[in-house]
Amino acid sequence: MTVESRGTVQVVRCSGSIDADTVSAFKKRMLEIIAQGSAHLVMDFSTLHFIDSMGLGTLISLLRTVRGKNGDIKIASMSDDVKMIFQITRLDRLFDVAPDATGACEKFAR
Amino acid sequence: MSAVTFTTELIISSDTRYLSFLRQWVGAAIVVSGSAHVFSAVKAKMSLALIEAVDNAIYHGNRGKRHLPIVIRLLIRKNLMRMVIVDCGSGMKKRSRDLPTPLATHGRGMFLIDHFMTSVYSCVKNKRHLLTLTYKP
Repeated sequence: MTVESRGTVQVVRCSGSIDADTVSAFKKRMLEIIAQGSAHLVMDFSTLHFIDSMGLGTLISLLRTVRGKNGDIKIASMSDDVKMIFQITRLDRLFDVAPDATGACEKFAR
Repeated sequence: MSAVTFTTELIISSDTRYLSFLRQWVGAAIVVSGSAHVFSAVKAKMSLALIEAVDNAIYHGNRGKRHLPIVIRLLIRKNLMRMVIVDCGSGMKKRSRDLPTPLATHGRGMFLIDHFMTSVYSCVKNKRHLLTLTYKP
């Protein structure tokens, strides 16, 4: 996972998978980022190949946390497989989804 | 290789470090069975269904006890793919097949399994819980 600051937005690029094996480390790192005052987050999923229901649950938990701080999580660059999972679980309606990280960052400026 | 009946079996401990390997295992089995032309398009769905089932086996069936085994059988036949996941639990409670509310953080695993598979069957035999997932294109 890498984090890049673009103004007030933190772009978090996730690689590999977010599953039962990796989700604890993922959540811990994300909570550290949020604790540093970042509530405007873009998850760049361009190199994320797999996410399971535990990963989805953690994303929702993080979304609840940042929305409680008047922030948001926007999701960018989903692969077809990851997009399919978001569509089936209808999380593409809960999360604001953008084609790429730049477009997701621009959504915060509107 | 012609696709008649291909079977393979794995026994793992209740350890999430196997999950990445299991996804590769499903993909490799589809290729080796000679059924790639039938099942490649659904490889991601089959892999996710298996991972969700193994997550359930680790955390619910075997209650996170790492030393307890999970047996995974994979059968591929012409126009049929079946995965059987065996854990040491007492089976599953009657469950809702509905999608949980949008902000719920749990409850999507079995929903995804039900969505991807043609049939899902749960039973207990010889003090082992068997979850049988069948997909027919």
